[in-house]
Amino acid sequence: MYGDAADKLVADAKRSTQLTHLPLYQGELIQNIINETNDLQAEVEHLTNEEIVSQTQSQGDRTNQCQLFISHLAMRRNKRCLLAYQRYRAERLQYMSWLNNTTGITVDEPGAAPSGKAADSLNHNEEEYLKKYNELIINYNKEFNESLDLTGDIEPPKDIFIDVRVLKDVGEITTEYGVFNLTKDSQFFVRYNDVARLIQQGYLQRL
Amino acid sequence: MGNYYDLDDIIADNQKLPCKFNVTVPGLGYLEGNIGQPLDANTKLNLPLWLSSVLAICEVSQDSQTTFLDLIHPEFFNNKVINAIRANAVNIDLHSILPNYYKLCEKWCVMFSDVELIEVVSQMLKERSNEINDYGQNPKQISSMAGNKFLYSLDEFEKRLYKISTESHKLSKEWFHNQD
Repeated sequence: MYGDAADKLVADAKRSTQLTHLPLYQGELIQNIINETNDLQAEVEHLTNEEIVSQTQSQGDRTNQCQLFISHLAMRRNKRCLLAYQRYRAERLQYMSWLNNTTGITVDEPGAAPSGKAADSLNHNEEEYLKKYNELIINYNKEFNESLDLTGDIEPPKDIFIDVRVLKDVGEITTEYGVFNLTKDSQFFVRYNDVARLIQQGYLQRL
Repeated sequence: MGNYYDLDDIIADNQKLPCKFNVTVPGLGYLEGNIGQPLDANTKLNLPLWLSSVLAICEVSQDSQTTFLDLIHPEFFNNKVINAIRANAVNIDLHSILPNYYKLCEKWCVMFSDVELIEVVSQMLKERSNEINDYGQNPKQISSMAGNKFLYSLDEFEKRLYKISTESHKLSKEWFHNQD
């Protein structure tokens, strides 16, 4: 039945609303839907040609146009499913950009160690989109100079110094208070401002 | 009607509804598995809403009232379900009847202006949202047997209500806490 592949795609998008990470791009399924739509288009062209031939006989009777009509409806349905899938994923990418978080795991899931980059599950065009969107945010942020960081934490900090645990190797960072070598599973007592960005990105966990 | 990109709306549009063809249509046999054959009049089929809803309002010819197909009153809107809703809206397992009950109902009523159905279903939503709000305020209750069962019986729209309700109660609690 036409539209079945498209339904699978939407079901996949619906399922991923429950997940904390963005699942793999369904490239093969999308290609199937596009192929199906191309088949439908070929059928529409074929039927339209026949229609012109037989038009003289059946004035005002639409019965023969029904098949043509259904092909059009199926194409429209496929288009809607494809667009909705892509839009849903684009919105997730934007959300990730604002959190300044390219690991694909949202920050409100503490303890969830970042497992590989989201980039693994992205399509080439989506990667490009994410990159461009990040650039847009950075450029927009520049308008406010040093006075405001739009991507910063909304909550005011309670303590100046905090305990953090390293979830993923970062390497050396240099702060006013010296150099820290952030290796996995180690713990540090550091100034919040120095590591806020790393916490957001999912490298560090606040204790 | 509905947001073009709304995933729930798209899924609701895929709900299969029973319908009956009024005319013999050439070339449509593939819908019932006979590729290349015509589809006979009076054939009964289950077709998704995105297809059947358009064919149900499209007339066969300009000067006749006959449409390509008639939608048959589906099971989830029959008297048994309606009576069950009337009797006790809160205890109905709406999710197992249809995961997108309200959406489907909305679409159905737009087509057929079923005033009675609209009244019954809006009354159900009122009664059930009270309950949803109660559970939203008391997260402890939801882990009880009854609470758990109720949560599973919610349709997609009600689930969203529940999420919003829980979230807003949490935020207002935090706010009160910060006052003193």
